[in-house]
Formats: sequence, structure tokens, C-alpha cells
Amino acid sequence: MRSQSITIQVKFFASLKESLGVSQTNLTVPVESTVDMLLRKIQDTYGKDSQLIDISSLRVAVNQQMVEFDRVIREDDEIAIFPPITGG
Amino acid sequence: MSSVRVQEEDFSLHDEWQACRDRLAGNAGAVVSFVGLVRERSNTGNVSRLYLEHYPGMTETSIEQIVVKAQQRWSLLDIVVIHRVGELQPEDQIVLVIIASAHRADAFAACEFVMDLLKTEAVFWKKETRDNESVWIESTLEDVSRSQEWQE
Repeated sequence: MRSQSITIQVKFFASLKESLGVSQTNLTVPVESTVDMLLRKIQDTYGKDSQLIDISSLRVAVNQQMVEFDRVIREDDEIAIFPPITGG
Repeated sequence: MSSVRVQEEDFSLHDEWQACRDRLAGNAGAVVSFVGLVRERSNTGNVSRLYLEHYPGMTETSIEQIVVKAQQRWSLLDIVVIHRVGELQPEDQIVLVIIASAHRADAFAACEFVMDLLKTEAVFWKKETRDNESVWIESTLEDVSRSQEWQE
């Protein structure tokens, strides 16, 4: 049922952005999805034929705050996925 | 007082130092400044280019959090942090930290602290080009251990 999914915008940075070839995308996921479910969706969408995406090596920020993978996503969340930061 | 800027443009140590002096209006006894440069030699070869990517908004916030930690730890009158992003080359200026305090010990310590934390907690990703190969790099163990030393 349509109403049970949400569409969210996801930003990618650094080596992940290069691997995926996009800096952001819109993805539709079920309501109450967690960050972990979103990562698996991205892996299914972009990484089917390769090992491009090693989920355990990624970091996720929701509304510009680092979050754990069990964080539940909401429709108006700003979500960013990236490799570990290098620092300045 | 504090000011955090993330920008592609170069900066002038003199101009920023003077602006800091003007804001202080005679209250400071010490102004410590640090300028970081892009090195030509890294651990793995000669660097011809360095690219810094950032996350607009989150990167500034991550630096502001470091500034607040410094302000909580030492008695400081002003902190300026300018960090460059985009394409840089060896010898380019990459980061500026200016710290003013009533006494020099606070400014010296806080400047080192801010730099050490910038190297591990500020939201940047770096890509080095060396010998015609571009590689995304990771924090060095030395950077991580210097940053951890401040955590007592």
C-alpha cells in the first residue's frame, strides 16, 4: 500500500559518492524503516553486481547528527551516508 | 567570541589577526595563531594535489563543537577557525586557527587542542593525488592518538 511507504532524499559523500556515481538520490522505503534497512535498499539498488558498498564501513548522519543504524527514518529527515571522516 | 568559516578561497593571516586584534580592543595578553600547509611529502609518496570535500552545515557544526570544547576548557577571549576545501596544492594554506586569551598558556594549549581535534573530529574527507593516482585517505594513527591524549 502506497501510504505505507515514504520517499526520502539521501546524500552521499566522498568515496561512496564516487562509487555510486551520484551525489544524492530519492528512495522509497516502508514507514518505520531503520537506517540499516535503508542501507540494504541502497546496496540492492546500486551494488547488486559488485562489492561497491560495504555497509559496515559506512557512517550515517540524520539531520546532520551521527546516528546508529537502528535509528528510525522519517520523511522529512535529512539523511547523509559517507565513509569515515578523515578530519581536517 | 568565535568565528568558524569553511571556504574554498585562501585567507590572509595578517588580515584575520588584525580583525581579531580590533575585536579584542586591548583585553588580550596573548594571541596565538597557527597556519597549516599542504605538505608535498606524505607517508606514501609525493602529493601533487589534495582535494577536501565537506558536508555544508555539518562540517561547520563539527568545528563549532570543537571550539565550544576549547572554550569550556580554557579561559579564551576569541577563537577564529578558517578551513579551506576543494582543490589544493602543496604549500597552499589549508587551515588557520587564531586564539586570544588574557594569558599565553591558555592560548597556546587551546590552539594545539583545536588543531588536534580538527584532525579527527571535523567532518572532512581528503583525497590525495600522488604519482598520477588519486586515493581517499584515512585519519593517521598519530592524529587519532594525539586527539585521544586530550580526553584524559
